[in-house]
Amino acid sequence: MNRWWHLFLKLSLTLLVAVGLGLVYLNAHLTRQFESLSWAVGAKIFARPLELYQGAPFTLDQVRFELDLLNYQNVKGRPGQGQYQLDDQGIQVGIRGHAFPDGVEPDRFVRIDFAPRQVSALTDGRAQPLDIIRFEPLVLAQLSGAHADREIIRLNELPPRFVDLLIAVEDRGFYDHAGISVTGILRAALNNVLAGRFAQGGSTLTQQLVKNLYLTRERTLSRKALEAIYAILIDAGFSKERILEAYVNEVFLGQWGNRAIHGFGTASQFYFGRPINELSLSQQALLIGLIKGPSALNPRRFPERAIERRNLVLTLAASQGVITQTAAEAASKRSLSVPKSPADRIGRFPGYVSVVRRELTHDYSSKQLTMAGLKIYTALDPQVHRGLVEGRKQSLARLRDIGLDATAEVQLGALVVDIPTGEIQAVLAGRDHRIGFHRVLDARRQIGSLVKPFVVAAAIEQDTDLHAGSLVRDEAVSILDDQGAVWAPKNYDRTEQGVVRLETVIANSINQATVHLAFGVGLDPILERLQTYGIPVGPTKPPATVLGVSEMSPYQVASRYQGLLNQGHLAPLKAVRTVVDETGRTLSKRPFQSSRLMTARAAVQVDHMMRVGAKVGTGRAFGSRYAEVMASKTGTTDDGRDAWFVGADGRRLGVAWVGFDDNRKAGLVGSVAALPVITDAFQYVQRSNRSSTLPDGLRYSWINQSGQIVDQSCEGAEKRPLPIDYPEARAGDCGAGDSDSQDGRWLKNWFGG
Amino acid sequence: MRLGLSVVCMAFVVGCTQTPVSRPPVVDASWRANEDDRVVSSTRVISMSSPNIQREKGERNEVTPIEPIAKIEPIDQPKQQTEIPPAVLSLLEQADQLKTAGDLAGASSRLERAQRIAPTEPEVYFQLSSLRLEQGNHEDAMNIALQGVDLSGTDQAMKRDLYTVIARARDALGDSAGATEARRLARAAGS
Repeated sequence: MNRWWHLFLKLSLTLLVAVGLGLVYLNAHLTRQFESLSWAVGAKIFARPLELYQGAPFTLDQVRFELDLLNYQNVKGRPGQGQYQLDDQGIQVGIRGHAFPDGVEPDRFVRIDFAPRQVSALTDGRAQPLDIIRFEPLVLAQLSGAHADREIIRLNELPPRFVDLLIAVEDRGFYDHAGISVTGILRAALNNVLAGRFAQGGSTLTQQLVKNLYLTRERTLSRKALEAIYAILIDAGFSKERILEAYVNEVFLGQWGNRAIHGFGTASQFYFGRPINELSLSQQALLIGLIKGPSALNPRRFPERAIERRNLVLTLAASQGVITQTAAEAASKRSLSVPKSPADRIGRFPGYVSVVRRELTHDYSSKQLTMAGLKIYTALDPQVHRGLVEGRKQSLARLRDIGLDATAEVQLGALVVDIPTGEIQAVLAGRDHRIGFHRVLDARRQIGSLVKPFVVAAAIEQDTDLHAGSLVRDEAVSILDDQGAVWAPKNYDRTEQGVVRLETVIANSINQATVHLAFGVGLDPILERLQTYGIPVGPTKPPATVLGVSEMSPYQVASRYQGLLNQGHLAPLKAVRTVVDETGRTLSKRPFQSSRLMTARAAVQVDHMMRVGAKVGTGRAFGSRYAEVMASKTGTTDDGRDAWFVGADGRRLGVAWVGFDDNRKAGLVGSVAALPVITDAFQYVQRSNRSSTLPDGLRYSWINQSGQIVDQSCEGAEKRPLPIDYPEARAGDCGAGDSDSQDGRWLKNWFGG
Repeated sequence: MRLGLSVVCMAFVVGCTQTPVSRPPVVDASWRANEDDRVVSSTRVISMSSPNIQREKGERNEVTPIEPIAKIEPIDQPKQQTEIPPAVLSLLEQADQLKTAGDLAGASSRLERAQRIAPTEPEVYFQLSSLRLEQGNHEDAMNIALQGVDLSGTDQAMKRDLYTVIARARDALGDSAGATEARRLARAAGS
């Protein structure tokens, strides 16, 4: 007996030591884990910030559009942070601050007044003028691993009542218990009986936290026991504040696709699109109510349940004196006010994000991109994106209606570039938002007539006497190549004019005249120059290069046209402005660069020819939509396999390609299929005229329709940039052939019909 | 100080298309009009003439006359920008202060913001190219200054300053002939 007892004691003691050692080990392990809890944040990709100053080209409607995207709230009375108020002349806004890579933009109150088409004044709360302000940038996307998508908050960033509400509902004894709470369980049971249903769980916040962090979701007694032990250890090892902070960042509050919403900061952005310190009492109660069952109470899917749960939270809080009865009742009457996400309003940005990723691939591994908490500032312009998305929709609908897209397989790639800086403002990689083949970056297609402006530029660089009025033969051609094959390109509309002005070659996209021009000036030098412009010329140097057999991606096309439409100055295309790490240190930045694509003389003359194209040529459906001076070029390849359009105003350039991925015959036409995409891209932004500043070597003169330099008073005389070494016409000199030019008979004088 | 001067200069720029700076030498006068022959461009029609090209005489499409010429000027031409907007001035001043304080990257980012607001303002390109010079990036300095030249219109003082930057950049790049040419153009603009 005594012996048995002795043995029992020994065994018990051994067990106790073992358990004790186990606990010590567990404690050390837990402590280490808890301390290293850092919630890796995925990389955030930002749009360009809305930047306002006196004279900024924005209307009140445009500013409101951006405020709505950022979920600013329209209020009556002086706006607080994240709110705005409209009045007779303008708008007052409580701007949310943002730490930009080049400096902090503070939270502040501003008043914005508008003149037609622009901001007329910008003042602060004391009516002092402000030079320039930036709103916080829209978050386009978060690149994240499984658990790396969080808006981390500190306790002091929570609204004042928030913690009280949370504790009242979830763990009334939080500050008093030791990790687990017997009275808590009893009180919860009592409350559940009083409420007539299961309203409160007995778990403390600490237990919920360890459950989320360390344990599986199964509901077994042994797991419950382990949870209690963990909770006691954590409670013993860390301050209540530390535990609470971990809790508010860890708590699970929803699921969206494969993205788990953890923490109140993330949930506030996810459900309300604004930071948590801007939430109303009713919204705070909604989030706290979600802890109970994020899926079953999802306010987007089950609004009634969510409201019911929210009101229960408010009632509980009022009964404990955390808020007044009146406040609870008022908040219970509020509607849900869960806004649509930005993606629901202006479409998602997968095409743009791919371009961003591609740009950053050189500098960062995929893991770094998703884990490092990087902030990636880009040039995406939400207003341009919105227009481009609408253009895509319009164009596809039209193609379907006219029977060219019966199988819904027509594809599309489009982008818009800021001409002076080369910044990419919007990208569409395909007909919808599904990420697959990226047609802007990776599709290589024949560019067709998009090559013509470069052929003409090459001709002008080769022979600097050429200008808009130079005459080019437009007659049938047939060329015998080295292999003895005959190449006899025809004009698109099967007509010919005998002779045309050089600008008409571009404006009306005339194939035969382009060939005459290239051979007249010299095919070899033309092809050599095309090569330097970045138009691929095959090793056999096919003459058909001058009519666009080269294959390029929309991205490459845009990069060449950027230089052409920028007085010949090439700026490398880029989507990313700056990348900073989580401490705000700048990791990479591609500064503005510039190099010479072609002479300004050639570029500016071709630019003007493209203006004629947008005014009366193949792009007139684009040019006539807007009052500003625009420039454009269409492109269509054999059998309508590819439809292209390039359109520009004074600031931006858009490129669209439409066709089938398998390059089938499609009957597509640039001016029908691709033009509307780019036309719509310009609809929500303030457009400007293409510049009339001429570089050295050119001056504006007047030419008549036979391409003669004439006095500006002559009938039909139009202003064109011409090389300055041409003499100006004498006053009243209207050139020969003007008298009978109305019906084109003058042609006979020169060319004998 | 450089800034203030330029603002004044800009205020006097009204048009930008008249008074060419210099007339380049005539290289090929064989078909070009001279002073007596005002009808210039119709004297030549560009056409292929290579021997390996055959014209198929029989094959002709319908011939249509040249269509009327298009007006591509805006209906009411907006006035040339006559002054630098306050927001841009403010950014240029910030850039200047940062540059003085040795923060060249900070200065660059201010200037690029200014460029986004006023991308046709030559002063921005002058400041950017001067900064690139200071950063030791002579290639970019030259190219950005050349871009400024093409945007300067009739602002001769601006051209002089930009050509001076170009000359310094070319010196640093070892292109002494190019530098000499830029100095000559700077002098020509400064007169």
